[in-house]
Amino acid sequence: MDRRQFLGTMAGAAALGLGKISFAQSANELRLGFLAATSGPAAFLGASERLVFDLMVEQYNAAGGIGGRKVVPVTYDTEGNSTVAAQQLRRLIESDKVDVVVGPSTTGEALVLRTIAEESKIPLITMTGTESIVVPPTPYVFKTAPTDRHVSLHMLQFAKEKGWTNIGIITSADGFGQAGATYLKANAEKLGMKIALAEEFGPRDTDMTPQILRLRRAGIQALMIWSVNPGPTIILRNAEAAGFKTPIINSFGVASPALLEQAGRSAENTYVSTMRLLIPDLLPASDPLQPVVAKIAKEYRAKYNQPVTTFVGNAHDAVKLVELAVKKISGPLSRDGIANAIKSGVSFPGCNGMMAYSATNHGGQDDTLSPVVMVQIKNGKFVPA
Amino acid sequence: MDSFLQNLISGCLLGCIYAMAALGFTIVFNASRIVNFANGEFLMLGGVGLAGVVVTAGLPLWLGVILAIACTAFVGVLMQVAFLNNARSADELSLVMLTIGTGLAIRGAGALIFGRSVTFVPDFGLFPMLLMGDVYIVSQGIWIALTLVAVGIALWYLFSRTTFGKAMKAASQEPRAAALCGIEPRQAAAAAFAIAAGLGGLAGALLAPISAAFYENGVFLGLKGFAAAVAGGMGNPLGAVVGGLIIGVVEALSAGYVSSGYKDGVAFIILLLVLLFRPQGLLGGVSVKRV
Repeated sequence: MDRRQFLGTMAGAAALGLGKISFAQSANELRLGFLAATSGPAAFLGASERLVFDLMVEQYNAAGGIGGRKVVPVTYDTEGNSTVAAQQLRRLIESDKVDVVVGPSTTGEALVLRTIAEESKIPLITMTGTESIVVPPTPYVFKTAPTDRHVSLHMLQFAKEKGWTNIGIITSADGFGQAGATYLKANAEKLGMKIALAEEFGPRDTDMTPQILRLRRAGIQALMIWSVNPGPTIILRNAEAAGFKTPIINSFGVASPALLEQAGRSAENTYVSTMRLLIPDLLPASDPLQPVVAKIAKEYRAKYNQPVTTFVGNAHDAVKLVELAVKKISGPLSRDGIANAIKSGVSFPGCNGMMAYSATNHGGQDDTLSPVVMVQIKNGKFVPA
Repeated sequence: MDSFLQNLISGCLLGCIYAMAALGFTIVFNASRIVNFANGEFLMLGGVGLAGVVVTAGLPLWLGVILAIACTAFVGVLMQVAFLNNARSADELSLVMLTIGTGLAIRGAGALIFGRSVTFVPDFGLFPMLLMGDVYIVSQGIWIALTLVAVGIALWYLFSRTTFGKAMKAASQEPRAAALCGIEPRQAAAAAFAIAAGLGGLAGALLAPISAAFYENGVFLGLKGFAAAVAGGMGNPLGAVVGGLIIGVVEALSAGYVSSGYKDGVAFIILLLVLLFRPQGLLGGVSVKRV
């Protein structure tokens, strides 16, 4: 075989291969990409998101697909690394030929993937809670998780209803804590409340007693903590030791049963602003999201025999959004078609709030219902506050 | 006044942990003239090791502490015997680089073996919380302070009263002369690594109940310990303790009275000032070499 023959054969093989791919993409299926960190430091988010994704895809296919279209999932583990995630998104777009992508779960990855999704014109439904991902809205990017703005507003409104208007805040000196501090300050001003003292601590600090003492001297009516563990646990312990009696409200950064284990009795009587999935069985029947949350929690526990996490809602709502958008399309599926279907208006009760996607709202939550609820820790258990 | 005292106590307890980290730097430096940047990882290992044994495996606390110290000391010896002794180039700078690399390896291994979760270990108990008016010392704090005192006395006794300790000192000051007297410098260095790592494991275990065990803790504990060792005078055990306490107290006071955001900055500014005006450290003597 000389070189020309060889090249010819290769070209023929390539043409055949391409032909195969285009045949494989039948009109009657939805190719659904999924990116999440199921290993590495962000696995606490991605692992349960992946599980609920698998669960829902299985349910759709058992029921004959979405609107008669079989769901073909293509999933990758990003390891929480935005470079890896970017390569995987390109692979989903170019070789896996997916119609829509759900993911990723961390803000860092989402900021990188957003650009690629816009360039390649593929709808990307991120499971992050960062407002800047969807404000201002760009044509192909959406999100499902509640934002810092929602949660900070909820914490402050709760305090205001209780009559606590003189507030102290303590936040971690990292991206999460600094964003929280900014939103708490801005929203307090809007609500006419006063942040009397704003304290910070390093994410790896071992003792926050000095900050607690300063907060005690400031004569505040409530303390708000905005950080992920271990900071809040150390603060709760320091506060208990120092006899700090002011009510404490934690953000959704600690909304998991791990807080009860780690902080023990020093968490008693404190509050946490959390997604509803933390207490799926205790939501009042009057809560408009109760049926959705209770249903997915029941199915998740039945299939995997493990407790449900609040992050389940992020993936659940993203897949639900895909389902409803695809159902609106009668002809052949296209990436633009799905993005336009979402922008033409998709509303549903999700785990993370009353979702009302539109041309201007790519974040999901509407403003009529808070995506988070307040729980209090009583006798070592989360109960609605 | 009460909160000033409370801040002071808080800083002293933090300082005790920094002092134990600084002692690790000092002991290794005294025995082999290198700065061991993997020292912070020994504290991390003590913490996650204790958490693994007590919280995950459910063994009793006292056994967990002993295992944490023993395993960390073993890792320290292994590091000296397997890596530092076999280094192609024995020049001090490359050995120091090697300790940084080993530190990274220990951190990765810690994450793989013990996981990436943040774990709180139960208090050691026994002592009640001390309450004097509004000022208090938590039970674990009493453990930390007493341990530092005990460790200080034991080290002082070892280095100034026992032949073994004196031999270790000799081996670092004049390796050749010491070898001629029958002291093997490599054994002395291995012993120093065992003591430093064991001490780190102990400090990490003591810290695990109050600030959680986490595989990334080693970096900042190592930095604070290094700052304390340098501020007190590298190679002087008393200086390490004084340096640790000063950094701890200054951090607590600046968090309590200036701004909590600047406290790490304040601690390292002290280090800079000491290096500028008293490069040998607060308690360090000028080393004299007789020819």
